[in-house]
Order: sequence, then C-alpha cells, then structure tokens
Amino acid sequence: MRWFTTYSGYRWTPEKGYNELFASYVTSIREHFKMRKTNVPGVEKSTSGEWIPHVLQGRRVSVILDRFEWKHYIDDKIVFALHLRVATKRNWLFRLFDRRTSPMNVIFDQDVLVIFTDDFPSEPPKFKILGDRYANINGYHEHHMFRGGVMCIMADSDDWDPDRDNILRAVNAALDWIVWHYYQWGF
Amino acid sequence: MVASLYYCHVSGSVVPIGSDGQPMLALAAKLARNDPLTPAEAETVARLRPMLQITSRRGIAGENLFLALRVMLKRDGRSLVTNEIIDRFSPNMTLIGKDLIIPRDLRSRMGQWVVAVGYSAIHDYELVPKYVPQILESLPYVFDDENAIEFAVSERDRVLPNGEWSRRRDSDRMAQSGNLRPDQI
Repeated sequence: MRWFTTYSGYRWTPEKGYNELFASYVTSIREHFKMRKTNVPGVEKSTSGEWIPHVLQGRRVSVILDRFEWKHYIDDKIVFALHLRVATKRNWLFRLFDRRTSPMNVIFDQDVLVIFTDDFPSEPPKFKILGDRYANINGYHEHHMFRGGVMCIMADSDDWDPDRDNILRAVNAALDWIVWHYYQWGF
Repeated sequence: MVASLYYCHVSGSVVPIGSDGQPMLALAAKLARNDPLTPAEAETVARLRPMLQITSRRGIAGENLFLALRVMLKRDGRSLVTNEIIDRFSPNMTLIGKDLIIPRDLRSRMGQWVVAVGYSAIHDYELVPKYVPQILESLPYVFDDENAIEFAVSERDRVLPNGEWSRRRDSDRMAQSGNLRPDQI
C-alpha cells in the first residue's frame, strides 16, 4: 500500500497519479514557503526570493526554500529535494561598518532530501543533507545525526504521531535541527 | 483463486478479430518479420489500427490491447516478458511476478497469451498454465460499432450475464479516487 497514490499495480510512476494526501503535502509546502510552479511538473521555485520568518530554538531566523522538487522517487519511495537557506539577521553595528554586506547571515545553504521510507507515515520522513558539510564530524550521537548526513529530528518514538503530524511539522523539525546544530557546533 | 476472464462491452455489431487466435498470431509474426501480408491480413491490420488508436486514447483498458498488440508486432519469444506489459496493464491487475514464465508449449502462442493477459486478471501464478487454454478459447475480440472499446480489467469490472457493466470505467475510477497527475497538483 503506497501512501501517496491509489495506484496498486506493480510499478508506480508519476503518470499513475498521486492521491489527495500527497497533493496536500505539496500544497502545504508551496503555500508555507511561497513557492510557485515552474514549467516542469514537480519542480517549484521560490516566488520572490522572500525570506520567511521562523522562530526556531527560540531564535528569530529566516528561511528560503529556493527550490522544491517533489517529482522524484526511488522505487516506491517518494523523495522531495529541497534547496534550503537559513539565515539570521546581522547585527546593525556590523552593517554600520560594512554596508556592502547582506543584512542576512546565511548559516545553512544546502540541498536536503526528504525521503519518505516504506514506514511512512507511521515513521517520520528522513532528512538527508547532501554535500560534505557534516562529513568530518566525530560522534554522531552528540551531533544528533545518523551516518550519511541524515538528521535525527525526532527526540523519541513518540515524537511523531502520524495522525497529528504532517510534512510541515517534519520540515520544521529539520529546520530546528539545523539551527540547533549551528549554534551548538558552529556549522 | 482463479484466472478470471473478462470481456469487452458488446453493443451493435460485433467484430471478431482472430477469434481462433492462430491467424492473429501468424499475422503478428509476419509483421514482426516485415513479411509481406496477404490482402486479407492487410485488411485486418488496417481494420485494427484505427480502432486501436482510438481505443488507446480511451483509457487504460484500451491501452492494454494497444500495448499488447504492439508487443506482438514488435517482439517475439520471451522478450515480451513482464515489465513493459505489466507496467501498462490495469492498475488492478494482480501481477504474477517479474519473471513471468510462459510455459514452453505456449511459446508458440505467445501473441495470444499477451492479449490474454490483457483480458484477464490472473491471481495465481501456479494456475496460469491451467487456465491459459481456457483464456485463449475465450477471447472473443469484440468491439462496438463506434469503436468505443471498453475492456473490463479487474475482477469487479466483470460483465454481468445480462451484458451490463458491473462497475464504472477506469477513467471514472481514477477521477473519483483522487488520482492526480503531476500537472494537476
């Protein structure tokens, strides 16, 4: 049983169709991050490059989802590809001395895969950060991270309730993790 | 579990196509080899093609036959096996596995088999050989007079004894079940 389609045949492809739940996931991300569709179905871009304010880890940060691709899949697993930027506002004093600098201090600028495993929705999706940003860390446990750049976004098994939680909560948890890691470890 | 057979809707004139199976297979083989066709065969091909083109636009079920014939026309032997065919067949068709093995004695009737798959939902791989002759014997290729071919493709799509459909069409089902194409999201 696939969570994202009513198609029950042997091999699913996007042409077989998505269900309403999947569509609601896409539209909720689209609306939350102010995305617009491109000519390619399943690929969306930030409407105006506008930073979306968030409060994460008790801090005011801004987030842009530059690119949102929901067309990807691996066998029966849906994969969202996100390009996320997270930033804090620079100190006004800092800007006073260097007006050329952007007011935003970008603390995260990476591609992230959201992988909906076979256990979804009973288990949350996995967030995997691409690139070598975290390649050299020691002690995955301290970093709340799994091997391969997968964030540990849920504190324990009760943290994700399939009846209550949705994709936006998971994305929010991932953003929270990003901010936490930055302030904890400096990157 | 059994291999169930389904028939297309019949209304108006009935056009049997290769009802004994053999001529159709021979024709497919000829086309595959680019052999010259007899006038009768050419007529059959000419008669089939517009129907298939029309039906292939009418949803999954029509596509099945289209695909089945395409495979017959372009391939032979075991190479027809599975993915391409299975991929395009009914979403409700229970699959009989990636390595669909055609019993040796049926190899020569491959073309018919392919079409037979299109018409049947085979639930149990082990029973396939047992039911294939029955399937083959039960393939009245019939079209209605508007070329509006509608095949039954799942168990619940069975045509009732009075000739009525027991269930809505695939296209309706897709719409009602909320299946959305990527460009509709």
